[in-house]
Amino acid sequence: MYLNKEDEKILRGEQGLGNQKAMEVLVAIGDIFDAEKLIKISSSHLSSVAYESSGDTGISFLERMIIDGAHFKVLTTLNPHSIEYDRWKELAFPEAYVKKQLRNIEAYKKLGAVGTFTCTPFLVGNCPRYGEHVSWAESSALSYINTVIGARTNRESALSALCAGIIGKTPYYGFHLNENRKGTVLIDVKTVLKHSSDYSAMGYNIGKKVEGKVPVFNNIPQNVKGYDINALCAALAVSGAVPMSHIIGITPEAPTLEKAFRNDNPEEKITFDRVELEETYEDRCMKESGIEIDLAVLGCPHYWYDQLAETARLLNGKKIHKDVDLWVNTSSSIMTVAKRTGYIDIIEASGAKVMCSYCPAVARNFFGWKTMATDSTKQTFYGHGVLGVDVLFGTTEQVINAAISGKWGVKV
Amino acid sequence: MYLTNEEEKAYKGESGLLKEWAMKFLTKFGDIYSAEKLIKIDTAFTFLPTPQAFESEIYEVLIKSKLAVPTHCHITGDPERNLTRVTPDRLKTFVDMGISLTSTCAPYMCGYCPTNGSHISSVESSCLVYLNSVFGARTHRESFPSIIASAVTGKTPYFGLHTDEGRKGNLLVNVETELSNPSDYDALGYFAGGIAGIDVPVFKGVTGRVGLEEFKGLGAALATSGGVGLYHVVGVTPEAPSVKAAFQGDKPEETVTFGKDELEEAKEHLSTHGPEEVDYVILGCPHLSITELMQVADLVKGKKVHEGVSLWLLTVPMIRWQAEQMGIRDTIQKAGGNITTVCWSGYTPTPKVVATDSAKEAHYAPAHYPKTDFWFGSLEKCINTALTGRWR
Amino acid sequence: MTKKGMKIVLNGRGVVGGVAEGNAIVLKKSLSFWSGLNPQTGTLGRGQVPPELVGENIKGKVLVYPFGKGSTAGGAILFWNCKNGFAPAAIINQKLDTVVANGVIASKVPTIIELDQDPCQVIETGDFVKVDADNGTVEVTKTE
Repeated sequence: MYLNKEDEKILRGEQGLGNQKAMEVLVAIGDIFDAEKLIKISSSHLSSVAYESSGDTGISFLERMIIDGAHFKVLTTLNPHSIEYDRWKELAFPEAYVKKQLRNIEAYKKLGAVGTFTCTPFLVGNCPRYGEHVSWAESSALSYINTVIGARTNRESALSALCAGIIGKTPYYGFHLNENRKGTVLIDVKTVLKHSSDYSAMGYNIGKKVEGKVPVFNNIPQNVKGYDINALCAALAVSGAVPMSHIIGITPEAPTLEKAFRNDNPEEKITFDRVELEETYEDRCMKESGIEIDLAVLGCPHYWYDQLAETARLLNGKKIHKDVDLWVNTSSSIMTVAKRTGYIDIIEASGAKVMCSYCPAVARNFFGWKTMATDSTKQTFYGHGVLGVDVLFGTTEQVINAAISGKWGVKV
Repeated sequence: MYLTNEEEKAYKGESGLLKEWAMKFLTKFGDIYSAEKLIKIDTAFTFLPTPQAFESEIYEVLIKSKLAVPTHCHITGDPERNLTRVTPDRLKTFVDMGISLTSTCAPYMCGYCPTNGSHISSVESSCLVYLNSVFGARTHRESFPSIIASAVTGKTPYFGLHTDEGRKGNLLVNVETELSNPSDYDALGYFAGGIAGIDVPVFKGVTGRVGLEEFKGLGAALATSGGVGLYHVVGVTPEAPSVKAAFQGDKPEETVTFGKDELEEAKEHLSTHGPEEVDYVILGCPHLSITELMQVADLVKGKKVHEGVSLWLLTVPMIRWQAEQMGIRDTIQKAGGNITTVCWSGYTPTPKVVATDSAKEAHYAPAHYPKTDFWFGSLEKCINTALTGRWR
Repeated sequence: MTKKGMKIVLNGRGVVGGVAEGNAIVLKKSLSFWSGLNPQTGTLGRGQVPPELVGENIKGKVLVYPFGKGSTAGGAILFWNCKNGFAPAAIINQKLDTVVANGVIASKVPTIIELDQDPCQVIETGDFVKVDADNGTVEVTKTE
């Protein structure tokens, strides 16, 4: 990979050990992917903020980087983590674990990151523009900005995004280049998608089939909500590691099918119909109707305002079951406004908790949960894998009904 | 304009007084511009409706009604610093209508990020030009009462910036000078807005970083010296991969050049060139981003704002919260600066000499503070002024 | 050369109907009602209009300018201004910004746009102007 004089200086350690280490990582990655050079980025977004995923090794690494003089050169925002920032005592997270988590956060802050603690940084001030080069980890967010905004990032890891943030550059390969953003598989959507969870289901189903390719979704209505696409992107990333899709009429690079495929034919055509939709709902439910649940999770990806408003509407005047924890996840930033608007009080009056720095997919099951209901396929995947619970997948309303009745599949 | 059966019914008053009023307004509005029909909007961004802006019988019904689409709202004051004219009771009224208290002129930094090609309705000249140009969303330059008529019905007349042809560039601006910081983009916007008027300018030759902060200043200024609702930056904004695409294959109606002289002239024009001793430094029109607050914190860290100078930093409530979490609010306060969530105009006692990095503020403020002098320059220069007390 | 008492007729498109007359206030440049018009006094503001017109009251006048610009608060400001009793007799714009459209529809101010000659050149401040927005005609009587 070509390095300019300044890059070379950094690599030789002339700007301190921290910068040198970061540059070494970027050069190693660039060489692996045959990148021609490094390009400037305008922001980075980091995963592995959770102690659950960083572990003690991650903390030591960050603290070493601080000692070695590293500091973010560009706007750098942070993913959610393993505890609830201001309420861990009330929610009885174990103190020793909390201390580790707080130490990890402290290290990121010392490096100059903004404590957004959300997987939707594009909603809270880190919103890149069309064509802008950035370096983002967090599979759902990076897929969203590639797909909806037309910003350019690869599927970065916590380490590569961190190093890119410190240097302010990233290797120029993959989704930074025009030719790799071309659509390759046509997804013909033949059923009406009514709920966010429908988009989540479609993403999960399609992701498994298109791994390593760039899907092009046709027949998604122009007035689809941003949060529905967010759900789609999150699911595609979980089951298929898809960093970018085209949605005809919405993705700036895909006003038409011809443009999305750059006048080539699709390598493959896949139909997504009612049958696939229903199959996915069944596939993501490990138990039958009538089973008791003890955890309900909403807000994966972190809920947008309008989703909190809808949750408040569904929970208004209701009480959730005494044996169920209903945790609604959003960002602190969205929370501050939803609180002023009154949604948070309505939701919490039902017994639910609005969490705003947390993600159960990167947390530990301290509370003995056994069965979780959620409106996100991503959460079903990690709920089973990380929290070790049985999972049930349905619409937001079904999840809320289950939280109220204590049982899956019971109408309230 | 064609109305569906349902719209026709509303027009005739069969869906209540408010919808009748709204439908009649939208029909007149659409007819003026030869709109063929109404189209659905997804969301709206509005000012809080004030009684002054409506017939009283309409206002009374309005504040007891639910809006048809999710609606975000403009600045509502700063309860934390007692800088608000809206009582909690009144705010409750708006919340009950379905308005989210987003409380900023720059909602695109805090949760309001419409998708490319989506139809929305937005007020705030600096915001709607951002949503149109940077996100590729589609909105008119809404005002009162059209924004409320849209939010009440969930519809807007289909013309102008909602249509493909209405988004075609008319004016080509060749940028032939280096733009080195966001306030240079303010100057560019101020220059081009005066020529573009209510047309669509296309900027060619912009090199270097163009991101959130630059767009914020550029759009706000374009909508100040002009009435620009959409601009394209070739190779940067989503509808302008090329000059040809920006003009939809046609030739520009007019071409102008923005060089070093024009840049200097625009900057000169935005200052009144009064005394060098400054008593107010006001940044954040449109509201400051977290990056800008971080820059301010770096510049004032360990220093003190000069005696007799008030430093006002205007930002989004959410971003103030972020700044607090990061400790930069503390850094700024220790230096003597204030972070607030208002629009400063009307909240500050009459200043003598103001320094600002905003072309919009420098343009409008003289009407509200006729005896005040203004200096316009970069964020860095403004902060240096706050620390030394003098514009140099 | 125009002479005192000379009449000129312009044709355009009426967008808000009505017949009105009054002396003209002519601005050569675009106008933002926000900061350009004080709705509590009906007067034009500093920085927005030429110095000699600052403080001029628009009540009963025919306001002529190329087009509206600037703040989207404009529609509400014109409406409030009219509610306070300072309605202009009519507005003549060459192009119609949507913010101005809001203000004139809501305040029912007779408005004509897209004239066959540039109204900001033909009409001068002080001229007596009859506006028939139902038929799209403007009759100008020169005062000097």
